[in-house]
Amino acid sequence: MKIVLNILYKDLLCEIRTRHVIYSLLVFVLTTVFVLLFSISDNEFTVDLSASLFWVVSFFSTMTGLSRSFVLEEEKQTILFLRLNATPEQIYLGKLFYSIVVNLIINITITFAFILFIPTFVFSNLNLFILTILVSSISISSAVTILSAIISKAENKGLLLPFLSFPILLPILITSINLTKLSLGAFSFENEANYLQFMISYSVVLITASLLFIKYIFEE
Amino acid sequence: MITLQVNNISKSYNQQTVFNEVSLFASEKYSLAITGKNGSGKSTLLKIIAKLVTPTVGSVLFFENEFQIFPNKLNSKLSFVAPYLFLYEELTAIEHLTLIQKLKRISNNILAIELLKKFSLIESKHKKVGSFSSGMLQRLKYCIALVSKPKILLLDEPTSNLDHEGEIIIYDLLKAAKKNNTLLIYTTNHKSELKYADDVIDLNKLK
Repeated sequence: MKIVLNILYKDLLCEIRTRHVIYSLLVFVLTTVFVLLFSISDNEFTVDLSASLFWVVSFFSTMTGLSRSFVLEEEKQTILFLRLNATPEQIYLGKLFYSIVVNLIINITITFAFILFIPTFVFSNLNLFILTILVSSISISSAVTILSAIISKAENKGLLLPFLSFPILLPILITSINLTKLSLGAFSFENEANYLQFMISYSVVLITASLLFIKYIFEE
Repeated sequence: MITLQVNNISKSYNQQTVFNEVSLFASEKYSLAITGKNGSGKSTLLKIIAKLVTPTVGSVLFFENEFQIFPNKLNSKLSFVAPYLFLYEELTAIEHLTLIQKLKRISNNILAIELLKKFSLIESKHKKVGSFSSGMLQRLKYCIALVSKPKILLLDEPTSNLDHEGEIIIYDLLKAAKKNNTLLIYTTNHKSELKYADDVIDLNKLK
């Protein structure tokens, strides 16, 4: 576990030094929110629309920021350094934790931007929203990390990730949208537990499968 | 006592054979040089030994006191230096050494500083690797490789990018492998570098 945390620390340190991902994400999030604000009038913002827009912005920000985790190592040819000093499983977990941290930062940033600028983004159940952000960050990261590892070996990396991610992330995005609607008070029925159970099961299956198959992705 | 057993390995890419049926046995205090023309598969063979590439046929096994060393344990015993091993431009020299010590679960700051002095990098230890010349990078790769006191040392073109002073340090390292109980395998195209090895494999002669 210490090795995994050291890989996470290395990734965070490199990111803090370059600020590539953080800056591009901040610009992306703010641009999108302002475009929404100027193109949709206040009374057109329904709870359903705000919840959906939140996860659309989150999806595209994730695609911008997290796709780089394995791809960057491959492009800069530093993956060999990691492979010589850690097992494929440790590298995967280090990258997964990094993705979760970055995804949480993305979602927290979007949340603050939405609270500030979107009039219907007012919580009736804040705890549920925090839980939604946490669980969906883990789910989305588990999918994007393994896809990033697969794509890092491919030729047309930039195009492949959004294409492959869309069908894999769609169930998570729909569930996250539904949970966000619930936390904003749009529904009267309470089936949060089912949605959360689904997202947790999805992450467990995906992380387990990734740990089983990651060594084959690294094989040359 | 660490031993290496390479059993009849062959490697092909897209049905093009790189080399065929290479076997070798090596142990601590033994050094082996792999030579051959460009494209003969020297680097591929070294990567297969380091478990970075899977052979098409055959197997590579490491043993310690007759017990097989599994890949997850091999990392802490093996170091690899190659021109195609890239470092993190955003991290400093000392941060690389600290990272490698943490990844290999060792703590020897005194040795890290000694190595930086030996390879004339002590004054650049807080500089980011992105600002290093290719020669300085190669020296840092040696510091990183040696800080864990590896039992198995694999070097691909050991003197590439080094100046004369750097070459002398590496020749001393090659000579000292026996004394340090290290299993040393290196590839080279320079005939003058073959004299440091106990044995030489010429991949052209195997084809």
